[in-house]
Amino acid sequence: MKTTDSNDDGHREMRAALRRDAARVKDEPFDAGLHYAAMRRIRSLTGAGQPRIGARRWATAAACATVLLLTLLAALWRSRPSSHSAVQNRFPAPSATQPASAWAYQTAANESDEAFLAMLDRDALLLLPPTASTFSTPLH
Amino acid sequence: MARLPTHDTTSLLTLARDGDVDAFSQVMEAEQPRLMGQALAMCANPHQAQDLVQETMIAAWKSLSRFDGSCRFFTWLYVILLRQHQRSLGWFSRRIPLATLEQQAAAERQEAATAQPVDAMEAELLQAMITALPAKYREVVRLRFHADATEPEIAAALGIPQGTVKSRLHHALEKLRRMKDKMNQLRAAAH
Repeated sequence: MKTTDSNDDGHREMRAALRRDAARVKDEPFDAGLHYAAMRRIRSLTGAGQPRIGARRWATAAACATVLLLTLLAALWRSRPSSHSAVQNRFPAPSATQPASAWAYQTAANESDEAFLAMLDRDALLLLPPTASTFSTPLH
Repeated sequence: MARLPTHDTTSLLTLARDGDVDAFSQVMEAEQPRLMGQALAMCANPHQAQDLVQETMIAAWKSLSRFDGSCRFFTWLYVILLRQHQRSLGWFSRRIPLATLEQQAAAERQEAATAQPVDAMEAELLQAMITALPAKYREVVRLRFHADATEPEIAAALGIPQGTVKSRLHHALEKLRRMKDKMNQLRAAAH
């Protein structure tokens, strides 16, 4: 505790010394030359008195408009039908819409009659409406 | 140049933030005497102090949009002054080694015969000790005692929590106390 007390005393002394030091610093008389030199430099920075913040606002608005335009373009690009799906629509994938190959029929027949007949049914669906009598009176 | 009608500092600063250079000029006219006094206390000569004030004014104008009114304008300006001064000192002189203080004490002993007032000697020594502090401690000491800023104001001006201000101030005072003890030992050894 003794150390803390001596620290507190030391700090109190330092605070007092710093306050004395601060009180010694006096305001200087206004220096017009210095002031106008600085203001001249500031005016040259702002470009003939053009409002600095106004310019900044314009720059921000332009940046926002650019971002908005880019976002819009990106959204349009994403929403258009992709070239891949367009091709798919015009030329449907063979696996989904084309009849199975002879090799596929052979494989199915080797596997079982059911698999062979299911393949026939599937291919028939590509050509005939689901209500066709073929489907109500199966081959087997 | 036609004088603007007298406004209070807050409305002048609002105008200045919107790009009104004349409004900023008016605010700075009021702050310059105090700013110059502080700059002279920090710098080695009046020319350096003038440069420092001019650079501070320009830096203040450039970053005026960041002043949010959470502390007095002078406190905010004083932070800029301190940082410009720090920059002007350069990397190598950011920390003054204690050896420099010892040299200063030796010079002080030699000058004692020339009847330099004790107050002036104490002031010089204190300035040297403050300059020897790490920048983060020096800032809070100068803001607290020279700019007469409160702890919440210092926190707002530096953008740090109030607890950090308290802690930095405590550490700064502790370092200054130790430096002073060291100086007293050197003085005692010399006599």
